[in-house]
Amino acid sequence: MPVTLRDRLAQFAPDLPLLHTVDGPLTTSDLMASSPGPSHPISGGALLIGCSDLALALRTILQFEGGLDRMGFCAPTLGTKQKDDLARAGEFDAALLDPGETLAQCPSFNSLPALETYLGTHFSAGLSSPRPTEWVMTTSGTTGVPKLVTHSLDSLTVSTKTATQPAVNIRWGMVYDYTRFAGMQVVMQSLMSGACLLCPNLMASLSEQLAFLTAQRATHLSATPTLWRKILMTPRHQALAPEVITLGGEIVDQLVLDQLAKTYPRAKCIHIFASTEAGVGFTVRDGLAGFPETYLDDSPAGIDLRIVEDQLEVHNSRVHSAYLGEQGAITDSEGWVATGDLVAQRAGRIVFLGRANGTINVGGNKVMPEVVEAALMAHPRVVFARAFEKRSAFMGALVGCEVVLDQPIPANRPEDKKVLIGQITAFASERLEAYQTPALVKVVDKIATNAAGKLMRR
Amino acid sequence: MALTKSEMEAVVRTSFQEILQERDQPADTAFDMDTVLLDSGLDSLGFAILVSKLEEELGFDPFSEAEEAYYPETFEQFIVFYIQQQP
Repeated sequence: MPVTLRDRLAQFAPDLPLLHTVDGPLTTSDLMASSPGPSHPISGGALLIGCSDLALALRTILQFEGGLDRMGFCAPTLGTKQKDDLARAGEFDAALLDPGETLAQCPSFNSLPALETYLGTHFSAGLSSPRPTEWVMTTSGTTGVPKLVTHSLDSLTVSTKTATQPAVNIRWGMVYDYTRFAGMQVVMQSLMSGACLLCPNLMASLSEQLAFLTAQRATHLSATPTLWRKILMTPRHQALAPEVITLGGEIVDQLVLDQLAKTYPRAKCIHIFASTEAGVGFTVRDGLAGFPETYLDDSPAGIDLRIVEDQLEVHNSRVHSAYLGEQGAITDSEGWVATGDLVAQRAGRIVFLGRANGTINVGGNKVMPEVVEAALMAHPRVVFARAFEKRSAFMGALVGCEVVLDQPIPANRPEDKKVLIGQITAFASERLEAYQTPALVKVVDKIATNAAGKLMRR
Repeated sequence: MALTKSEMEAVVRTSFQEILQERDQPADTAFDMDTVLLDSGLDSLGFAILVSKLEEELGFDPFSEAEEAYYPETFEQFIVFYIQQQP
C-alpha cells in the first residue's frame, strides 16, 4: 500500500514530464533526483514549506515525506511575522522559504542540500520503511494567524483520480498558490494522473502567465471566479483552448459561468465546493450556479450534506476533528463540519448567499467587518460605522460602509461631504490591507442596532 | 440626460484619479483609450472599486445590471459599455 507521494509517482516512467516551468520541463527522475533510495534519511521533525518555487517544494516533499512527522504549507506571500506565528503555533523545526527570508522561530533554508544537512543532523535514524507524514494546510485567515488543519496524503487526494496509464494528453495550468488547499488539489490531480503541470511565473503579469499557458497548450485550468474574470479582461485570453475549466474558492455566479461557456465553448465547466477544513465536498457540472437540492439526499462524492439554520454542513469522515495546536474544534461530536456558508433553497437548487458570521469575501480574501469598522471609527469625525457586503460583478464582493458623523454636514455644502468621505476613506486605507479598504463610504444619520446596542448584521 | 462619450470619459478619469489618491498610488498615471484596464495602474480590486464609485456618480452599475456578463479589456470598451447601458 503506497503511503507517500514518492511511492505513487514511482509507477511512472523516469522520463515522463510531470512539470513544465518557465525554465523547461522536469521529469519524474528530475523531481526525484536527489532522493536517496529505499531507506529514509530522517525520522521525525516538522517542516514548514513556504517557498514560491513549486519544483523545489516538490523535490523536498519527495525527499522527506515518510520520514518527517509533518509538513506544513504556508503562502509564500504571507508576511514574515505571520510565518513566524505559524511556525510557533505548529511547532515547526525548520522552514523552507525564499532566499533572503528568515524566521526567528526556527532555522530557515532556501535550498535542498542545506535543509538535508540540517534535518540529517537533528533527525537522523534511517527508517527501513516510510510512515505516513501529516500534511498541514493553512486556512485563509481573516485576522492574525491562519489556522492549521491536519490532512494526510489520503485526505488531500479523496477526489483525485489515479490513472493506471499516465494522462500524457492532459496539461494542467497552475495559476493557484500551491500552498493553499485549492492549489494543492490541482498539484495532486495533475501529478497523480501523470499529467504535465504547467507552472508560469506567478510573479509575472497575468498576460505573461496566459501567454505561457497558451504556448504550452494548457488543456485544464483551475482558478477562482475572480481570477477567471481577470483572465476574461486580459487581451488574447481567447487564445487559450482549455478542455476543462474548474472554479472554486468563492461563490460562483451565473454570469461568470455563462461567459466562460461562451468564450470557451469546447470546455467543460466545473465548479468545486471545498474548504480546507472539510476537504473536497462536491463538484457541480451542469453549468448552473449553486448545486442541485438532490445532493442533500444523495451527494455524488459520498460526502453527506445538510442544512442547519440556513448554514451548509458537511460530513467527511477523512478529515481531522480539530485544528492543530490550541486552535479549537473543526467538527461537532458527530463529525459534521459547519462550513459557515449561508444557503437558500430556490427552485430545486441550493444557492450560496454569503458567510454566516458576516465575513465579506473580496476576491478570495476574507474581511471581518469589525476590522473595517474599527479603522473607520478611529477617524475623529466618525462616531459609528457599519461595514457590509456590497456585491461586485468583478470581485464577487466589496466592502461597503455606512458612517455616522459627530455633526451633520450642512445640506448646502455637498462638496464638503465629498471631501470628507475621501479623507475618511484614505484614513481607513492606511490602517487596512488593500482588500479590506472600503469601496464605498456613505454618510447616514443613524445605524440600526439591536436592543443590546450591537450592530444588526443580517 | 444621457452623457456623451467625452463627458463619460471625464467622469471616469475623475473617479480613477480619486481612487489612486485614496490608495496612495502615484496620481499621474495616464491612460488613453487603448490602455488595457488591468495595465492602467489599478489592479482588479481597484478596478472593481472604480465601478462602485461610478455607480455612486452615475446612479447605475452596467456590469451588475446587464443581462449578460461583459468583461472589457480596454478603456475604450469600458467607456463605450457605460454609454450603451445608460438608463
